[in-house]
Parts: sequence; C-alpha cells; structure tokens
Amino acid sequence: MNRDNSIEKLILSRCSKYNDDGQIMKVLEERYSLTGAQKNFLVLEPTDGGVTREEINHSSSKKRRQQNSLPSIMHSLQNSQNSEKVEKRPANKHNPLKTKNEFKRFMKSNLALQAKIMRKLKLILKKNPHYLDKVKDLASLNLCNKILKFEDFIEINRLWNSYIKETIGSTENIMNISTKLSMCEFIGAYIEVTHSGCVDNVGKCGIVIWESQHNFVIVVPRKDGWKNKISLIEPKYSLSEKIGGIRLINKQDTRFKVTVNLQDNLTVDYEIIGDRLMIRSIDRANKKFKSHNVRDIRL
Amino acid sequence: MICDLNVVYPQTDFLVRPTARDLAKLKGCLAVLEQLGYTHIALNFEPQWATGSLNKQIPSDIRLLNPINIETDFAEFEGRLKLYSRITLKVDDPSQCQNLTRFQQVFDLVAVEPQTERALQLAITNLEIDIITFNYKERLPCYLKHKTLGSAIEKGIHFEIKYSDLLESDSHARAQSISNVKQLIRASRSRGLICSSGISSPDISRLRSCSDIANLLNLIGLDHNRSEQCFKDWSLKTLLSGRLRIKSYKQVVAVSGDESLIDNSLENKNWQASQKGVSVNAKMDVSSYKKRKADTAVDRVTKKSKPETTV
Repeated sequence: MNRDNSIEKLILSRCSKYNDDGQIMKVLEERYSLTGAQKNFLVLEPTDGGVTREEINHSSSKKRRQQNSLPSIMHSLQNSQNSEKVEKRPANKHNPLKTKNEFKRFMKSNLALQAKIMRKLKLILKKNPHYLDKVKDLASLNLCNKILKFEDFIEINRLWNSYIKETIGSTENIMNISTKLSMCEFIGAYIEVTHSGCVDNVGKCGIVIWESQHNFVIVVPRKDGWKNKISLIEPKYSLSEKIGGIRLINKQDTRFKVTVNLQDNLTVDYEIIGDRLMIRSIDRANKKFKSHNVRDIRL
Repeated sequence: MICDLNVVYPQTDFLVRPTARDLAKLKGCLAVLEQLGYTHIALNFEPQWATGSLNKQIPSDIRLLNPINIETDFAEFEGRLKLYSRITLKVDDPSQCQNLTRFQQVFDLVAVEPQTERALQLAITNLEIDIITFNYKERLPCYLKHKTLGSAIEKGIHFEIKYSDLLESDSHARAQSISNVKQLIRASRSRGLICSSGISSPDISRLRSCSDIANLLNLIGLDHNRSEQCFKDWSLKTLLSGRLRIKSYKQVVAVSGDESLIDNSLENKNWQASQKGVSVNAKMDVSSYKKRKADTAVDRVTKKSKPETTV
C-alpha cells in the first residue's frame, strides 16, 4: 500500500489535539500498519496478480518462517511487500491466487486432511482400541481442529431460512414456490440426500457451503444423520460420521430434499432433482428450464 | 408396480355427470383390476369432440375442467389403488391446440389421439404430452415412420397399445387392430411403448392380467421382456413425466413429502374447493403438503450448544 494519506493528514492537521506534523505521521502510520493496535477495518486485497503462498514460503528462508507466528493472511501480505523479486503472474484463470482456485485448493486440501485424519485414527485404534472411548466429541481432539465444524455454519443456515421465507412470501401455489426455489441460491440450505446412484451418499445431510455445476459441498454434523432418525438407542457411528467435516456430493443421479419453513411452524418438503440442476447457481437465475425425457430419473 | 393407464371414464362431456350406475360399474372394473394385480390406474376422460370444435365446449371455470373427482367418488380405493386422471384429446386441426396447456396442470396425464398425419407431426414436435394413442379399430391416420416415432420416443413421449382393441369380438376390427399394433411395434422398434386396457366399464370380462397380455404381445412380435416392461417400467416413466409436470417446475424442484415422485397421496384432490371465492387449481394447492416442523440436525446442535452458554 503506497499512499501518502494526504486527505487524512489534512483532516488531522485541523484537529487541536495534534500540534506538529511528526505526531500526525506517527498516528497515521500506526493506523494503517498491519501490526498496529487499532484494527477496526477490514483489509480487502484483490487476490489475482501477485504470487502464491507456496512461492513465498519457498523463497523465504526456513528460519524466518519459524519466527513468524502471525496468522497466514497477514504473513503473506507482509511478505509480498518485502519480496519483490518474484515476478508477477498473468491474471488468467490458472492464476493460483484467483479466489476460485484458492477455494478449490482449500477444498482439496481439506478433503485430503479428513482422509488423512481418518487413516491416522484408524492406526491409533488398531494399537489402542479404547482410545476413543472417553472422547465424547471428536472435534475436541487436537488432531481434528482444522476440520470444518457444523456448528460454525448454523448461522448461515438461519440466514438462508429467512431469505427463503422472504422470497416465497405467502404463496400457496406449488408451482410458484418451486419456480422460485429453482432460481434461488442454495448455499446455506440444509439438504438431505434422498436418492442417489452412489448408495453411500443416501441419507447424508448437512449445510451447503458451495454449489458448483456438478457438485454440492456440504458440511455434515458429527454423530448425526439418518442413523439418528431410525434408531431409538444411541446408534453406532462410523469413524467418518464421528469426524464430520465437508462432503462433496455429485448432483448426477441424486435427489436432495430441502425443507422450506412457512408460517406457523409448518414446513413443506421440496425435492431437488440433481440431474436437472446441473448448472452453476449464477447462470441458473436467468436460465429457462425445459422438460426433458425422464428416462434418467429413477422412481 | 403394474400400471393400467387407460380405464375409460364414463363421461364424454364436460358438464354431464355420469350416472350412479355408471360409476358403480366403473368401481367394479377397478376392483377386478385390483384383483389382477394392478397398482397404478389412470382414469381416462375422453371429450367426444376433436380439437376443432372442442374450444367452444371447454368451461372457463378451472374446477369444471377435470370431471374426475377421485376424492369423493373413489374414496373406498384409497390405500388399495393409486388413481390418476388422464385426458385424451382427439387432434384433427393442429392449429387449435392452444387449450392443451390448460389441461396440463389439471390432469396427471395428457394423451393425444392424432387423426391426421399433420396432427401426429405436431403432437411430436410442439406439444408437451406424455402419450400418443390411436384408434386401432380403424385404419391409422398415416403410415408410421420410424423417424417420426423415434424422435417422439427420444423426447419422452410414449405410444400406447390398447389391448381391448386386440380382443375385439368383431373380426374385421380385430384384424385391423392387430395389423395396426404390428405396424406400431415395427415403426417404434419395440421401444417406448406402453400397454393399457382401454376398457370401458360395460365389458369388464375383457380385462386380463399383465402376464396374459405379455403373451399376447409376444405373439404379435414384441419380445417377452419388453411386453412386461410395457406395463411396468415404461408405464411408470410415463406416469413420472406426467406427475412431474404437476409436482415440479420443469422437473427441477419437485414438491415431496409423500413416498415417491409419482405418488399423489398428499395431493388435494377435492375439485370443489376454492380459496376466498376464487376458483383455483386444487392440484396446485400446497396446504395439503404442509406438516409440522421436524427436528433437524441444526436444531439438535443448537439445543446442545445452548445449555453450555447459559452455564
């Protein structure tokens, strides 16, 4: 950020509190520095252009990385200011700092992390079968603290519910509601897989955190789901159900149930037919859907 | 799940209601079908007019469009049979088909009986229908080409074989219908066919079970597996496309809550109902699908976290 803060300087110079230029400079420097005390604004930096985090880590020495205990975003910002020898990348779709690619990487690494933790836990359980007996919630383990938690996304679900309530209003017509739903955003919705070509996916439920053309990414609750619904005693959960985290669910050959809250504590279930929703949510708003042959929809 | 998608409803006019005797006969017919193992049955309403003269006869009130009142007239079959309503329109003048869209959200299935070659072409290319049927007792309107039928099947339109025509007592009509069905099977290359009874209630004795008819179709030249599929898979697909037109917006988001996409157990079937004096399409009424809020994982998790915050 190369700026001389001329406007701020001018304003502060009118203030009776500061009587010389040096004081004003000092205040301003503190105000806009990354490590300063007062931080009541959000630094938004464009993500394209610049360098990847990996490259920064690679170029800077190991020692400095260890010294630096700052959170990662600040870390990268500081480093990008300091290290100017790394050349700029063209702002095309392959640029790793594009939000989309950044997000993709995050998804990939998080899914890999979940698998890795699963393997680790399995190994531990092989040696010590009673390792998890006293652990009530796996999220409390140190091992699992990087896995996304269902609890953190409840707020987005609450937002979505009020959004849907607002869009639907007081319509009583099935067609009107489903027309509106087909144009809605599903990020934040609590969905449940009712039918799927992949048997493993049936019964999975969670809050949508991302929707792409072919997939829904959902965050699943720990120790919950279809087993809880059908059993009266505490059911036996598999390791992946205990861990929770994100799940990638393909839309093809899959149907999802969405519950729409209406007035007076009443709800109506709607079913999303995944095969027909194979379109990104941004394009969906203006898309004119058409009826097709139903041979790909299973009963 | 065995379907019979054509049981003729004893009414050919929008306003003249069938007599109690006709209805009793129809119920007898349905009971026989139930005994024969059928589970999904569509009652077929056939207006006597072809589209050219139909327009003047269509009532403007949407409640009168569908004369088949499953809720009140067939209450005793609830839980035993799944009943659906179907309309078969005779199309002679292709330019007069605008009213078809009015039927699409009122009947579960929309079928078309083309009477000219142009009408057949139009039904395949332009109309959003589920079934194309013919009067097999007479000559077909045109020679059936594989190309036209193939494009229809590709679109998801099924062709109907009525087995009551094959069992006709008049030997000339029977011969004609056998030759017509053979032509249909040849032109469609045994794909996209559904088989239904097409029975009108006086001749109950002509009802057969699905495996009997499968043998009969085998004789005509449809292989055994496909003739069974005519009653099962393909009929259900037809029903699915028809039901999705009512339950969903362009097959994208469908209302659910009952067991499957073709189920109509939760639907409001009472056609006499109206909202605030305005006649509305009862099938589109969401209120019968409403239910009490169930406990989801979101609620459970919030409940779990709340005691901690208070302590």
